[in-house]
Amino acid sequence: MTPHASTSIPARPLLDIKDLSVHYPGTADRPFKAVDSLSFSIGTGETVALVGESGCGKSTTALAIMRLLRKPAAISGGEILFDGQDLLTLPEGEMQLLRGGAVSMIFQEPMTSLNPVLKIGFQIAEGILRHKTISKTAATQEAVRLLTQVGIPLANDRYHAYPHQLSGGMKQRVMIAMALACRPMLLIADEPTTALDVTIQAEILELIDRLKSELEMSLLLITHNLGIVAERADRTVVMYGGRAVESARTDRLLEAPLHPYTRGLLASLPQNSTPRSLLPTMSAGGGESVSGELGCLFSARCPYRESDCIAASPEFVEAEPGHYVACWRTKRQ
Amino acid sequence: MTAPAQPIIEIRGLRKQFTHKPSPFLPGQTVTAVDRVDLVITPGETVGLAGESGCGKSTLARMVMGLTTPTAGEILFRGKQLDALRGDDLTEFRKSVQMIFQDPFSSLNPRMRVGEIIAEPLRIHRLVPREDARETVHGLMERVGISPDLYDRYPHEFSGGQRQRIGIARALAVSPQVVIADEPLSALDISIQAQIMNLLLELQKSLGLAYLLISHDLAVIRHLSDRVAIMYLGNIVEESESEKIFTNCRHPYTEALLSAIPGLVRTGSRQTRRDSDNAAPAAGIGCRFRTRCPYSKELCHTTEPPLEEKTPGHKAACHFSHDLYGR
Repeated sequence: MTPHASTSIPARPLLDIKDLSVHYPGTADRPFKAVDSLSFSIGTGETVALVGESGCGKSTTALAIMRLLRKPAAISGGEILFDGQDLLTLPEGEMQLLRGGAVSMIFQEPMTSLNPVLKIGFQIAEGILRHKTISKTAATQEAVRLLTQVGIPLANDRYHAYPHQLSGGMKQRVMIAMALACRPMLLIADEPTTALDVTIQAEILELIDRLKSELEMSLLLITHNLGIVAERADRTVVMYGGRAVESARTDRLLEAPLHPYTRGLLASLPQNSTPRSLLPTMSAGGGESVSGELGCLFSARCPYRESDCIAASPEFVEAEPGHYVACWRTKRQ
Repeated sequence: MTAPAQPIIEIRGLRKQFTHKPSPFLPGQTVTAVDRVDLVITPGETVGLAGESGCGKSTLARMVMGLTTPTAGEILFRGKQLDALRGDDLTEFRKSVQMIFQDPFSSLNPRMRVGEIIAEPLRIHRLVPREDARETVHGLMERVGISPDLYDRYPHEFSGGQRQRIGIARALAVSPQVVIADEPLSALDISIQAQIMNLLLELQKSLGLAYLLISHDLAVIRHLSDRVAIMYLGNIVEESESEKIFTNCRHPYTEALLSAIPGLVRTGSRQTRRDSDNAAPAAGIGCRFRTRCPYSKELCHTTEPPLEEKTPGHKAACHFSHDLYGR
């Protein structure tokens, strides 16, 4: 597969997020914005990575797409268009048909996302029965086929295994089998390999990639591992403090990052420095932090901060074709 | 490495077996977590220990700390056997070897103020008079980059990176010579990881610390280590100067590990491991990596390869190291 071949923009993206905002009730007059006016899209068959540090709103975005946000979090604005349909206005019943059907999700911790008291095969078959009109026997057979497809040997026997009898990598495979049971058009993978060893991580990512091309799926990959992003994603959206600060084709983003935050992230990787040298780090912030309404959220940590950064929030603008950035500095130049 | 300094810690033929008895009516099963491990830590150096989860890295660290009793083999602290240490020698050992833990959220007592957390080792070892403790703790806090004004705060008021700094300050309180760091970065964000790595490097330089660094992140291991040992199923399968491991490895397992790291440059094919569900072969007969090794031959099934020097200073446990990776 050559991920970069498919970057021409399709007529209508499969998933189109426009100005999505998710709020938590903060103080009485100012809610906490976990996601703030976020827009991005994913084309058919495309892999888009969402990166950023913990708490930047990556997972909240994923949960908002699935409409699985729990109170007190609430979507306070925007649209999530999936195949042309706004998921936010869909009745809950129809949304349930979509979840696990056309849109599926793999969660970060395979250890806690499976039901410990049910056989893994049943947990897969359960989803199939929910979404398809199909006999129990056929659903069982399908579950066994899926287990084989994700590389679990002796799938017939493993159907009857309980989660605690499987290793972490195997459990993640079961999660993938579950997510793919109804041939989704969009798969959301939230840190799918964070809990796994590097060798198993490589296997799982390889598996997701293979199934993705087999099923012509789109993939939203949420991760903080820039190595994975470099290898797997066609396009990358960098988030900071709930906002998108940069978005571009992955190779461009890694080659010529525009936002100081993206640059700082890349510079702080040990791979980019000589061993045992001090790594360039971003300042931890401190000083006056910018309120949610005004100014660039990164300005407190930014080495290039100027007065306009504190005065107003930079717009997300196209700096070069397909490369968007929210930084006053780009505009100044 | 130049002139072999007197090692602080020397591990010889270390083994740890755990017995698992599923039921009183069944015979116990023995799992060998660590087997025939030799390792030397000299003052001021960083030894990196890498391997997959379950390979025995943490068990090894616990044995060096004296928290787990080895089944066989010996650990020498400045030439003296660890299990024979008594009295002042034992106290000295406990001061000299300290640990930093993986999870900065569960390794700090939530009901203690951070100043007290850092002061506790000082109190236990009666290193400073009570009235001077606060001042000493202030110095330690400054050293790890936490403002001494925060002495009276509780751990929950700090971020992950700051908590890791507090854990480091606690370890440094008794002026150790060896710090064992078990996955000290894996719970942290990338930008915070870089800060903590810098802190570890600076402290090593100014205090002459030796580190035993345990991590599954090979980029971290490469960045911080002078020497690296790769573990597989309880054995060290390769050991060398750090750069040699990463530029010129001599064991197929190391090769597999290295090829599995997602790099920032898109690479072509990658050697993924074969079916991860293969049960690991029993110890004692043949090479234990053979079921996953793409190069395994007849000999690998019958004879266990010893860990031996293949090129000067570079040890590997593979029969075909020379054929595969040159002389």
